[in-house]
Amino acid sequence: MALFETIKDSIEHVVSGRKHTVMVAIALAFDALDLSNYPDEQDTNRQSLHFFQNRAAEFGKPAVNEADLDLFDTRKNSDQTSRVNYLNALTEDATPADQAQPSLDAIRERVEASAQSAKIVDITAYREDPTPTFPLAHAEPEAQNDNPVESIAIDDDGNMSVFPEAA
Amino acid sequence: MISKLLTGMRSKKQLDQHTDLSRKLIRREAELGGQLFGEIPKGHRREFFCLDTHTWIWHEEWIDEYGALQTTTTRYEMRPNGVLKSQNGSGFRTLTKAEADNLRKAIQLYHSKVVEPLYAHA
Repeated sequence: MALFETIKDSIEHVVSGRKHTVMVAIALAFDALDLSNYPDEQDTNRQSLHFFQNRAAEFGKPAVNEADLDLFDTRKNSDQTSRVNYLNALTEDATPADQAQPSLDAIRERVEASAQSAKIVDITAYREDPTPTFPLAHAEPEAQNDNPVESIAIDDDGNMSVFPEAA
Repeated sequence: MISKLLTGMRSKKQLDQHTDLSRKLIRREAELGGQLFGEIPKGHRREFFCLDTHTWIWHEEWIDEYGALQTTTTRYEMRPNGVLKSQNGSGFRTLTKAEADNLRKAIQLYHSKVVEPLYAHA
């Protein structure tokens, strides 16, 4: 039973660690995509504030006070570290409200689903090589520029598309 | 001595298991992330995922009219002073305003459509 609990804890540790990484990445992305970098945009900070309000509620914080909101208003606070620390505290110290602890079966189910959908691309190659080249293995350099992926596009109906039609 | 050796082997095995699980989680995120942008054209493979705290990856593969596999990998680096973008390992450049807006929307969707469902109990 002890071994079972150890394995369960170990898996949960990895899963929660990954979630934490992504949450921090999202916070940093909002910082990097901030209004100050793109002066024509008006609602960036407001979107960020709403995002963090929702996250705070999710992690059991009953209310976000003005000081917390100011922390994420980059017009009032330019300290990115303070925002990351705040998010760390949220995700490390708090348990999401109204959520039961996961069962090992539930975690296994999710992991197995992940394994079944495993991709050919070895994503970890990026970690080892800051200038990945593996996607170029089968591509013609000239052809790569025929269909550049310029942006993630969203049409007037809110539908997102990212790829110009292939030639 | 033997006990120390066995402990070391167990630690190594556990580390490998953690690494393998982390890879599987990222791959699952990549698959779900690729579905955020609407229907994927037949014959295409699309992935969008958070690589680490500072990096987002968008990867596309498709077969062109000559039957050759084409790929485009776009890497977004989050820096304190903005976002830098690199495609297929080329040099970095800054984003246009429209692309920054779209990327932000994509990351918001990533949270609601990928992170929340996948890690609902984490």
